[in-house]
Amino acid sequence: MGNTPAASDEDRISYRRRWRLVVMSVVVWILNNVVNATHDVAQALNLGSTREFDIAVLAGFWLGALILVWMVAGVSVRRNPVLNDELTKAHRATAIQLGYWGLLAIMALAFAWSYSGRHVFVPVSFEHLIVTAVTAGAVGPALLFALLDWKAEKVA
Amino acid sequence: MPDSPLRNRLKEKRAEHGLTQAELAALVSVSRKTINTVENSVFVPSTVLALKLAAALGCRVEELFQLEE
Repeated sequence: MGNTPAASDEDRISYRRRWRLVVMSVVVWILNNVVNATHDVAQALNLGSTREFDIAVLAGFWLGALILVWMVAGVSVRRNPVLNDELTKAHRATAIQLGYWGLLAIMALAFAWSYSGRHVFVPVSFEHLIVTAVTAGAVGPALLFALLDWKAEKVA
Repeated sequence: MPDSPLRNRLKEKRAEHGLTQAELAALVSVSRKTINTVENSVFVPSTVLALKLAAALGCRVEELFQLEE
């Protein structure tokens, strides 16, 4: 049948891009949890020796988040009109919009949380907050972008 | 899924020219997914892409895309 979509190079690159986004999102999500966990353990036990591990995990988290943002921004495919066509740009815009609202929502929740509990003000750890906000701002758009790309593939 | 007031005859016109989605996509420098989503009224193309599609299929843009009455 003439209309059967054949898997072109672009389709294959697009498929790999989706999987890379999902895998990288999972990595950043795991690093986010490890950062928070090691921070809590180090604080609770006052273990100075875990600080090196904490810093290494935090550096890994920031690197992972930056790579994820770089992938969603499509820096490497900017010059390819097929891989960076208007459908992809529309998906990217939708995904980045989610990241923006996700960041705002996390900040609003943290603000509300800081006024909850028995006391008027409950201190919120800046490290927790920033890592959670960055995770929401990087992982959310990446997964949404991968989902929209996959859905476009399945439309029939 | 289609909620756009824009209707199109892209699939029909493409078939008339004996082109696959991938071939038409290559003619207008977009991905096959874009052609697929436009044909299924999931994605509304820009004016530039609509004009490119019309030129590639040798017809007027109004023959390809119409607003739903």
